[in-house]
Amino acid sequence: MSLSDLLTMRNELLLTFLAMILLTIDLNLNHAKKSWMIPISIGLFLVVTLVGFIPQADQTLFGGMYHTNGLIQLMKNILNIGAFIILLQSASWLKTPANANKISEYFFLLVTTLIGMNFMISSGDFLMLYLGLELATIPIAALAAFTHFNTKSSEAGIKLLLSSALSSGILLYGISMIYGTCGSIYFDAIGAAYANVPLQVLAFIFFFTGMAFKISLVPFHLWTADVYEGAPINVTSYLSVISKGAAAFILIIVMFTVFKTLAPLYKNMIYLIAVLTMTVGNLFAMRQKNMKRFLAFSSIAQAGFILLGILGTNKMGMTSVVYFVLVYIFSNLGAFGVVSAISAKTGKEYMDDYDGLYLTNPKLSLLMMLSMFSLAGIPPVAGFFGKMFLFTSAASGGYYWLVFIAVLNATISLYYYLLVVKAMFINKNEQPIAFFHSDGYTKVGLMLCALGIFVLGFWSQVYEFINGLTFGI
Amino acid sequence: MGGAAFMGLSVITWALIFIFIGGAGKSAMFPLHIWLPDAMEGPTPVSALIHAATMVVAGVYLVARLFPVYSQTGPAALQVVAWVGAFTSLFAAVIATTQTDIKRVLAFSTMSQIGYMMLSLGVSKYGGEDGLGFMASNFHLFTHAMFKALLFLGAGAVIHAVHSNDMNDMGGLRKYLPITHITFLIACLTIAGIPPFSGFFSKDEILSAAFESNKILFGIEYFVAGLTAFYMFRLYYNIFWGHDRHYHHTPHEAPLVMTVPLMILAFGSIFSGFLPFHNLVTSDGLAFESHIDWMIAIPSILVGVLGIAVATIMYKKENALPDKVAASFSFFYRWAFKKFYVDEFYMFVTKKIIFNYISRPVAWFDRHIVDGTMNGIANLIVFVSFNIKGLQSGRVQQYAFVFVGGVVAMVLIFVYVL
Amino acid sequence: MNILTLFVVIPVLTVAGILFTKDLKQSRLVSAIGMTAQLILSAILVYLYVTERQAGNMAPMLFTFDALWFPALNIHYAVGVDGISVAMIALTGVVVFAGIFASWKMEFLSREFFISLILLATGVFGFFISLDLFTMFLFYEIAVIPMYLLIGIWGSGPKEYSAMKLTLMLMGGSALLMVGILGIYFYSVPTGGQLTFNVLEIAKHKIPIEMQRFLFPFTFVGFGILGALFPFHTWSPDGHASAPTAVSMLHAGVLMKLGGYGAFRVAIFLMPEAAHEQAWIFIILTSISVVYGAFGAIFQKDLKYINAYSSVSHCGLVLFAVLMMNQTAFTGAVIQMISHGLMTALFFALIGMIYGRTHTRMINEMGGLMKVIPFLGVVYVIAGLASLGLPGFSGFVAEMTVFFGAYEHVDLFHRVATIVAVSSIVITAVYILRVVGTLLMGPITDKHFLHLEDANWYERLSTITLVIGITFIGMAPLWLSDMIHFSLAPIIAKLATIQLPGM
Repeated sequence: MSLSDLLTMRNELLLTFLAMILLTIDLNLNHAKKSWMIPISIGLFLVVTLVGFIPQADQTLFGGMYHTNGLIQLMKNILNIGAFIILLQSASWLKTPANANKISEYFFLLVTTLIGMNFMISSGDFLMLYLGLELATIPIAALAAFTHFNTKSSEAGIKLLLSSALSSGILLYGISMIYGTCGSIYFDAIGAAYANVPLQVLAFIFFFTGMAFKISLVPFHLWTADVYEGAPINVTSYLSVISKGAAAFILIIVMFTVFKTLAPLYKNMIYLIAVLTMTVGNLFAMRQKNMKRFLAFSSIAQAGFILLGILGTNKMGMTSVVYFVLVYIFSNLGAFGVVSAISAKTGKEYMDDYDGLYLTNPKLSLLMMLSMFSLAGIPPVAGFFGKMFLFTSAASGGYYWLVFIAVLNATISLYYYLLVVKAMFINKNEQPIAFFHSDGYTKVGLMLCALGIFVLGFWSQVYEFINGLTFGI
Repeated sequence: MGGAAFMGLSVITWALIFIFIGGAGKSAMFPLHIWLPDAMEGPTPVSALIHAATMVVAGVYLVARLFPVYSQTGPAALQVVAWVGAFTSLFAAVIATTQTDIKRVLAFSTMSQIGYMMLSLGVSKYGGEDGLGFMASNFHLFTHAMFKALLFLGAGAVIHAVHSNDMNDMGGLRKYLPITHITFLIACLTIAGIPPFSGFFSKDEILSAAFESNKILFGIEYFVAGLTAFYMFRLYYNIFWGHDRHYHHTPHEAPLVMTVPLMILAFGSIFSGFLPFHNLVTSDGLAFESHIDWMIAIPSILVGVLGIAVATIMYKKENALPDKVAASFSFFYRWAFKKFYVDEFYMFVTKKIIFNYISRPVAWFDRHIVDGTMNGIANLIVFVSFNIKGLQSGRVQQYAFVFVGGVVAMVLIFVYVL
Repeated sequence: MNILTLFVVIPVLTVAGILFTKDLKQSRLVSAIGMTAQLILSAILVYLYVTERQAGNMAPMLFTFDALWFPALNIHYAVGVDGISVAMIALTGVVVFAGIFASWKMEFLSREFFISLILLATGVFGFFISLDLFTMFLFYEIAVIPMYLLIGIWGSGPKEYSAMKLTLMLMGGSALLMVGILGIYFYSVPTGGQLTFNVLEIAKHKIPIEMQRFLFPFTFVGFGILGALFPFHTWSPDGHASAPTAVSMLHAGVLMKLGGYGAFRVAIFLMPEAAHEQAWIFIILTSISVVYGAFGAIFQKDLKYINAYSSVSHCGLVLFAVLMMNQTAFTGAVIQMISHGLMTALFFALIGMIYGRTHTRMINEMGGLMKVIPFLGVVYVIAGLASLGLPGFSGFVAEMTVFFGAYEHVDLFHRVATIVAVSSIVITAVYILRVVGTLLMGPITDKHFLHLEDANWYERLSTITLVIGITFIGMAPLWLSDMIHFSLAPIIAKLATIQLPGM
């Protein structure tokens, strides 16, 4: 294998490099200058992100364990953009005194999980997938427990660790069964050999539940609320957006390639899980007053919508899923960004604290409103397009009643998203959160989100570009 | 469109009946008449114009305009027109004999006269001399406009002088309002059908046409003619004769601007009867010859004179006779005085039935059932949301249990169901 | 640039302009300029349209423009108008114009108010010019969502409840609609062929009847919820009553017409077979709407609730007419949409003006206002007379056409339904005249009312604009009905190809 072959793993290599550099720099910085890590990390990460956009030829490495093509590049770029915005949003939180000496650890851990996700997406066999998955999960558990003196945070870390241990175990069991029945763990080989043998079906189910855990589908979602609530906000946003997105990506790829012969069988199951997930997510989200828990349940419901895309087992299905994840990243990060800015400044995390916010912080309220609308699927922001295309893809498979249930759920979700809008714009407050300036990083991060929310819908090139790369069953 | 039939009448007959009902409302035919007496609250010139001469005859005009259709394709409808007209004229005349508000008397008188017009149309046929009723109706419409407007304007002058509508507040006004008195008298004579005033001519034609067609209808209208004379002169005597009252402010005659129209209209009332209407307005547009049938005319004059005589006896000088008569007919009198409680019936239907039994339940239904369902759906969702919160317990062991349970459930469904 | 796209661009520019203003005076000035321009543009469009048609242009849609937007799904930004759309655009132009002036004194968060209002207008204009179902749906939702803020922030009474109920119910309607539209899309072309969202293209083919039976209820009810179809109308009384004046004007006057227009243009145009089969269900529901709304209005004592129920009744008549599926009835439906749009906008404007002076909306607390504020009183009487269908005003023209069209069906069911609907005229007269009598006539009940000011210049402008519209259509409806008549040709042709007994 030549150097140029190795360089096809550029995303992973760059990120690994980045991680090492960050550690090294950290060793050399004295205590007072630790906060320099922030601009350095963000700057270097931006470089990595931009490099990712340079086109690259399709290639397979390590005998098929690792492969990359246009679609995979796209997915990695999407994750990078999301991670970049998260890093920007983390800046003001990292500057708080509690985190003063943990700044570089934060970046290091985050970058490491990203490496894992990249490997997972690029995997060509189940072993690489599992490695990537684990590499992605364990540092997040540490991140979740970042504020270790806060019991909720530690609790979040432990719960995440335990739950993902369980799910990984089941996943691995499934992989072992696949190997047992097919004689190989390479995706190509398995795809050809897969039949409707009960053991293989069992294996598929185990695999699916492992991934469903990451995406927070019902009934594998119970960890979500507690972990999201306990972890620091930016870790939560990372979990809800990047982690979920990466898992969705690899799930749809695997389901469309490896398990495609099972498609007629798994469609009904996905139907059922989609309905359950959307409904349960909505029902729980309606009553939440804590913004983090609120966004947690909302993201569970959104995951249910993603399944609709998978149901349209064709090119449109994958395109709509990838597109939706992209839009969802911007929408959710917009919401999380506002919550994070307010939390970093004032420590307030409850919806009641947001009453009357428009009168004091109009720009933040507007961005929050846009994010809420985007999550609900209201035009003219991008979320509408994302949801519309998911529904179109489900309808293409003839699942009109499912689309109906889904849009009804979207209407129910509109209710709780409007509660936030109501709090900010309509409710009166004796002591609203006072006006404050956010620092440069937060501003850039929020502006990127706003830009994404506005532009991604109308600018049809994005959808077309994604469509050019996807494939169906 | 005429093929179908309902209850033995063709579609077009029903259409014509419905059109007549529309016209009947406009012309204050029973039972759509209750608005006319109440409309007297308006200013007197308005009453004179709209409720005497022009608007209120619109219903008659409608039937007359469509008369070729009525008479040739839906003659059954004309029966309805005739009987409604006859009944209304009787009904109104009876009530008019008891009313004390002078404008109300005139209102019911209008109703009664329009009843005549409708009746006349109803008994008419199409073409030439058969169309006598048609011609008579329009003739009466014409003359009625004159004398009724005169009566209303005169009443207006009286009310202006006395500042009251009630005939119990009046009496002996002939000394104070000479012009009004004379013109009013002329109008009363006209409406009573005394020659040579115009009312005689037009009413006579109507009675002739009725006699030709249906003796019962003729009989009713004959009786009403007598009643008309009676109650009009009752009105006349109560205003201008009767009890000589002492007035707080001396009533003075209306100014010239009010009395000149009275005189003009009196002129019309006297002389318009001589117009050869049978050359001008006929059912088929062609002139025909028409004479006074003295066999009909003489009795009608006599019954008019009889009515005037009775009224003179009872009302010219103030006496106790009217009260005794009223007392002896007490039940009937009360009913007539209350306009046969038709108003109360309408009020009952609208207030109690439509408002209370239809509108209120509709509003309640909308608020509590229909809207309640919408709210109920929302509340149900919130209720479910509240009650499943136990599923998120916070205990990792339970999470793990549910997780594995989910896997098992999926396996079972997959393997055994799908 | 295509003239139709201007209808969307001008409001967006106006909104951008408002962003730079600082206070009420500036923001209302910018809004007024923008919406006056829009009104003038609507008038120009009417003129151009009529001229084009007279010049002999027979194309089903004029001033078309088509740009491919999402090639993968064949979504286009496709616009075009025919007589009906032009009429609706003119209506919207007038009502929005009147609405801006009716809001001349909106002090609280005025910039945001005008921005939301004009965004709503953008959605409406976009809906009327669109020919592509996706774009139509996009604008439809844009038109609905600002309502939440407009009612929630600037409303009165139980505004949060009303706003949430309205938004959720209307969005529920679009949920149904989305299913319908997606279904239509996937069956838009028979075998092979590229799927399309374009309304004209879809109309050329026949959607399979089984799918039509499934999709028609979704689409019709989806639009019907916005058009006050019983029993999904309950968002309307509370919504209208809680909304601020201009919002009610726009909502009842224009937004509810989106429902009627959509039902006609999408549900019936694209799925006439199913419409014909299932019409009877909806005729029953709409007849109930018409009469039920009127009876409900009798009982109300709050001016806005009376008008809201009245709108339910009149908009129900639009759907009723649309379901009758013949030329006369369709013409009547469109005229009724325009007529009612102007009338109800006028009513709400007046109610707002009266409320601004007397600070009450309960009719039994007011009386004798004609003596105190004669201009407003007279205009109120005009509005009332138009509403109950007095000849000379547009309401009469609309109702007569609708009933004539409905009566063309000879079978018993349609005839009975028509008679039931006709009876609403009487009931309407009851509540209208009752309000006019209690409110305006008689003695002045409250001595505080003796010093009320009559209408000032912007209020006069607002109301007179609407009165002119009502009277003009009432006196000279021929230009309008001709415009509509020609544009109905495609759908009448399509209906003729189906076997329709008893027509």
